[in-house]
Amino acid sequence: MTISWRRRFWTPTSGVTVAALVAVPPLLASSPYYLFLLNTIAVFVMLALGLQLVLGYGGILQLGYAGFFGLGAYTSAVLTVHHGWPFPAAFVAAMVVAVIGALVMSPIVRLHDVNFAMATFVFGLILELVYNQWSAMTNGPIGFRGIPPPTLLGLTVREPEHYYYLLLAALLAEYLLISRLLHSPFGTVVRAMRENETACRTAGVDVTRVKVTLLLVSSAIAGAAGSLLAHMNGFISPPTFGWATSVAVLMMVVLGGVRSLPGAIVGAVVIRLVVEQTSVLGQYSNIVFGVALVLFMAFLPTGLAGLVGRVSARVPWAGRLGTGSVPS
Amino acid sequence: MTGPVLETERLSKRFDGLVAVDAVDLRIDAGEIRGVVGPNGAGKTTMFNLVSGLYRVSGGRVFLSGRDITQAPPHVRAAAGLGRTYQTPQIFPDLSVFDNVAVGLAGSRPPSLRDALVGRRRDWDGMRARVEETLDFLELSPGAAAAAGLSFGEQKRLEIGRALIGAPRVLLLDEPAAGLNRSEIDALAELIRAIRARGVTLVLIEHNMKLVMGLCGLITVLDFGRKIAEGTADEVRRDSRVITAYLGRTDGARV
Repeated sequence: MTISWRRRFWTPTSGVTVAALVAVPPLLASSPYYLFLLNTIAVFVMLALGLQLVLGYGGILQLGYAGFFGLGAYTSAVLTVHHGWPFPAAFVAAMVVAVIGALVMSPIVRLHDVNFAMATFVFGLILELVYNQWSAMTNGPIGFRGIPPPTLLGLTVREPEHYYYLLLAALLAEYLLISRLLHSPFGTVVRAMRENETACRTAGVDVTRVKVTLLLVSSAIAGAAGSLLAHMNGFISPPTFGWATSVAVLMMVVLGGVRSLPGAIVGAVVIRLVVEQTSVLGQYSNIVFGVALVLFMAFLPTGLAGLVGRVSARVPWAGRLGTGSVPS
Repeated sequence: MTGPVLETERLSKRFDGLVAVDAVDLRIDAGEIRGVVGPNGAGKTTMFNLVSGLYRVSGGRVFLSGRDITQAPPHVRAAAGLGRTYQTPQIFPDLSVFDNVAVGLAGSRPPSLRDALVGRRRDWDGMRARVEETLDFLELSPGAAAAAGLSFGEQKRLEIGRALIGAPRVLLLDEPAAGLNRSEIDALAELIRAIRARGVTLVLIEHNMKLVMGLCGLITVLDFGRKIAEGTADEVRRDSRVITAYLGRTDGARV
């Protein structure tokens, strides 16, 4: 049980974690492959945290999340390549366009449960269709090439180990934003809404407004992640922003543990590593995902974070490892 | 205070063929503790759901302090000063006791992203003080433990606290005494009087007649969705329609 309403972020644990993350790339400098993997993971951690906010904490079944990831990526790509925008402006525009996309989708928050989930899923499919079909803008299934590396304050971030720090800064900003949000009066209402919507409404909460706000914030995050991915790889194509990615990010949240920020991070790392390792399975990896998702829902609904929480409840020295993640 | 604080005008609700609430006129003045009684299925809770906005009316209107709130969504009614509790406590089981009550601040101070990110600490301190004062009033301790661990009686008080922190004009209590033991019921009666002393008008649905007779100046009796009687405890007790509703028809049978 986390106590509500605080502004404190820097604790010994978070300090050590950030220091460790800063120290990682030099250790991997000899291996471009691992650096590339690390950077890809960082982008997906951003996505997993964003989905954790809306789906894990808010209980809003956003199943089209990758579509908004794509909005950010294509916006940033088109603006920098075709219109010569500088990276910072394109990055902000990516978030804005993703938010506009979420605003267009927002009337469906009046739907409930399965209907809402279906509608978000379909919205994601429509966006994927747009990326495939609107060739003049996105270059269709062939993919969009030649996206320049970002230039910030006159420096061009070309090397993967430098890009890592750009991602780390974005990630840290996102983590701070989400954790600040969750530990505010707004966060209290978000967590309450997931547990009992009716009680929230008669207690004075404008549930629709809170839900839309969450959808917009998480979409802005997805847009930012998309922009960073586009400029990192220099190339984007529709499948990255399709339903399979939405499911993969959902898996990260479920596997790591619903309502746990560290859980989302661990989930993203594990799933991305699994994806890399199971690429030999090709199209069958979705079957593996599907089965794993069902098994987790059935046997470990609180995810890895819940498992850690349960273990640490028995092992005194493990103390605060799983704080806030185990519903009683 | 002039005029009734809560008023319904031919309030009706139909579910397919069933008329759950049938043209009920209700007029509750400020400072009242009104009892609403009636057999199971009389439409009491349905009426609360209409008044608090969880159901759309099939006909009629609802006024809060003279303002027509018939079409307003539940959160707007809450913000306008209408609080309620439920038959089975609708709490947030995984949230702390503090957080459960804090949600009730949403009506008077809508939670916003802006406040979450750049809000002033002093405002939060003020909100925290209000939550603590409310918990204190209800004799609940704010601990960080999940509310699911509270006793049934404490959960009911917690729910009252969540409604009360919104500074309601009217508080609707749906069977507040159900499931409580005798000493808890005595404490509840004290609590209800203390809430009225804060300037809150109360309406309670209750099956515990002793409690209703002891607390309520006026009692409204519903049966099959209709208001069949209204008056003081003595008047209602002697009303032949009330006796019929509760005990069946009297002709040929001794009651």
